[in-house]
Amino acid sequence: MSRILIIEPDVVLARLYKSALVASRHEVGHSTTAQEALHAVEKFRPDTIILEIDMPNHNGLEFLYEFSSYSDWVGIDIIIHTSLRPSLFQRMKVSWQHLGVIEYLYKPDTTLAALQQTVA
Amino acid sequence: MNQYVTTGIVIKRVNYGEADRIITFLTPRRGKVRGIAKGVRREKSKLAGGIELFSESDLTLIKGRGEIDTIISTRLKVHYDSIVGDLVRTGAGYDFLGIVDAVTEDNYEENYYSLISMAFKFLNVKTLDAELTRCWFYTRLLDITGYTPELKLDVNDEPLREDENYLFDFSAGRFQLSQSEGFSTDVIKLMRLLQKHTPAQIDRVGGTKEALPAAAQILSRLAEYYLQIKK
Repeated sequence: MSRILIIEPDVVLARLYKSALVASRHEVGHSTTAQEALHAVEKFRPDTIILEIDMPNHNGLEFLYEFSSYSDWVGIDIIIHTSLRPSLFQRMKVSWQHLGVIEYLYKPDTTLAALQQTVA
Repeated sequence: MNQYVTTGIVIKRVNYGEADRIITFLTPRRGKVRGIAKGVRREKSKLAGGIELFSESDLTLIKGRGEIDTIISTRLKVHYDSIVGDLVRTGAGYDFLGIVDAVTEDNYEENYYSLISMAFKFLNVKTLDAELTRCWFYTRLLDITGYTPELKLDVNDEPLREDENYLFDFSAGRFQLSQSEGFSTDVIKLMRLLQKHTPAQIDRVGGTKEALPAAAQILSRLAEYYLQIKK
């Protein structure tokens, strides 16, 4: 069992992911914005973060760079779970690994079972 | 009190203690300035607005005893909000900040301030291809650091010719004639344009879209090669 923080602006989707991960015996928290997520990380201290990059106001990339400025959060794994196409991902030319990203999942191709498996 | 006022662009923010942050600014005349913004992570901090990334601010600081000064007031002058409104632009923006921070670690010159300031201005224009601005940024960076690639003569000091294919020799900083595949002269032409014109001017000329990925590949690898930029 691990502590997982879902950063997902779509509340309905977040509820779906949360129930799947709770069923896999994880403790799960949820934030809808990058700003809210920074406070949640401080309080909830997750082992893993599941992050949607495409968010209003501060986007997921801003969250990742902000997150990486907290030295005591090094070691928290980040799984990107997004509706952004892989081609757009490549065009962003970001060094994801340096930002703590361990996996990229494209939402339309990822089943709940696959999400559960990736987190486990 | 040893107080001073400057304009600055935030290039790095690191959290410090419970609610403080150490901010690294690039300034037009004072080079790289590091200042502590006390209490800035609290919700009602008046300093917060002026230390946003992708913006230029007026700053008032008190000179510290060591390398870190104290920021006492900030006023946001301009925020390039289109950069964070587009993920490709955001990625490029962070790329520029990381590179400028790395290359100004040991030396600084005024050109870096105008480089990052202009790069943000171009990146903020939604109609300009972010990749074109990225190429322009690398071209200017190589120019400032003294590693401008040679775009008239090849490795054998022969003039670069139309309708030939070339490979790029990174150690020589020049093209070399290729008997088979390679970069077309359109790529070389675009690189020449980048040395003399802004992304906005090049965009008006048009016809550069196809050569852009290859130029980006050469320029970013050149910067990595000469400036030891790790990505």
